[in-house]
Amino acid sequence: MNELKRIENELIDKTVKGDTKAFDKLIRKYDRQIMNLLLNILKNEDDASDAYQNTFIKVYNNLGQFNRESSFYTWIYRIAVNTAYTTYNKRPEYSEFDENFHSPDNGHENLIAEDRELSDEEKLELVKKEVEKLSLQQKSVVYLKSFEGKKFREIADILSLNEGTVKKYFHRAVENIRNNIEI
Amino acid sequence: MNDMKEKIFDLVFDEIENAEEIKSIHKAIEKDPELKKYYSALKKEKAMLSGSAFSKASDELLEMNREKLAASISVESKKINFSDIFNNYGRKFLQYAAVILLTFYATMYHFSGKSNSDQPLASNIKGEAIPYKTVAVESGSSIYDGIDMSKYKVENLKIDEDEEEITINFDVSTNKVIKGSKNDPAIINTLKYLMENENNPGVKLKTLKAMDRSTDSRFKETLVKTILNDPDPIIRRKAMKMVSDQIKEKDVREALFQVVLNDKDETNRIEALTMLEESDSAYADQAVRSVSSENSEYFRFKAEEINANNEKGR
Repeated sequence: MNELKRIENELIDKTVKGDTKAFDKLIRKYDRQIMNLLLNILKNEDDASDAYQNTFIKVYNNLGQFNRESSFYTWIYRIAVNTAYTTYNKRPEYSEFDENFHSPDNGHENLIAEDRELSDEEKLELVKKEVEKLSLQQKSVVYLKSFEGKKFREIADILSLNEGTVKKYFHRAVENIRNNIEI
Repeated sequence: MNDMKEKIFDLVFDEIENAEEIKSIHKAIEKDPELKKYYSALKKEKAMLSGSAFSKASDELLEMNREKLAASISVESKKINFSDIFNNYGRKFLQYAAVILLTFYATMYHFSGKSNSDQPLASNIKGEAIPYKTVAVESGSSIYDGIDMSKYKVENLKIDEDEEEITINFDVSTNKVIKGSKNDPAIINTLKYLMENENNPGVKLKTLKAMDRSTDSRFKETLVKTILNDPDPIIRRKAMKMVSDQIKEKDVREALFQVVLNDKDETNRIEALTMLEESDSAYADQAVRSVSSENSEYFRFKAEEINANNEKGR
């Protein structure tokens, strides 16, 4: 067992016995990444904050059942992704948000219509908008791969998907971006 | 060419770690201008995606949430956890109560000089079953044959990885246990029965996990039924993964075809299509064509992709 795993297990044991400070130490290693993940999936600080709270309360309440043979970070990520999906699906206003986003007034089409060489900032803006158009699962894959640099097999583990499906989602997203934006 | 592009894609997105392989891909890129162009486009796309296409949480937002969480956790830690109390004290209480009851029952039995005809297990089980004691079944013993599974509720299912042994506990009122090696006929039949009749998805997931440890081909039929009929999408997906090595078999392929066409869960449909594509692309194309007119972006895209490939092939 490596040192990190040993420390992690010690902190888990202490937390299960009621030491809340140990829990604080345990999650500090991942909570910034989790907040970034939630923010990028939910695109709203209030929702990301709600999902952050719910994720770590679930982690705290279920820590006793965590299988020590598995990876702790994969377990936390899986809980965070599922919580983000639940939060997203609970909010009916998201469908309105998406519709507005895809409307011709969002600026994307205007940039393209101008028929000129786009600046890097403008291209980046278009990439962001293309990423926004992806489904929740595809967005999660693109985020975990591009921003966090995780391997496809790790992403498959977190999202409980086949590695081939994850790769396909990512390929597809990159192709979309390539087809819609000439980088 | 497409294989090489696939490798370049993996290289750019850091999926390849082998130094020799990396070197050979770079050599291929140097030789072919088209691959060079593809490589440099991918690198730009990667830079755009990883650069600033995503937001980072501010320190203020994180600190605010950490403080709020610390307060919530402090409240959570003071809550009475009935499950822990039961685990710590309730189980022991039940064990003591069971010992007292057994002692009382055995004493009464001894002094009465006759057996009690109302015992449910003794009346059903052949062999040397002892009423109100754990019954262990080893290697397909005839004791299993006398059990009417529908009368018992499974309480727990344990898989001993080292001993390759599976233990199935029934509810405390029956005090019944079936225990045997992963390929024991009694175990196999019980797992099959549970998969087809149990309502609790948690028990079913454990049953699938136990089935996964076995090499018995008789599970295939049960897994196909699960893929097609189980109400829980996660259980259906898990069963699909478990038959992936038998995908060449007709009933497995047909089941996956049906999933692509009819499953209510889109992830399952995409998963089934991916599995079919890996095994028999013509069959997968046929499945996609059957659903291409529907309201799913993914399947419409797939249909377009197949049509484009066919056009190229002509």
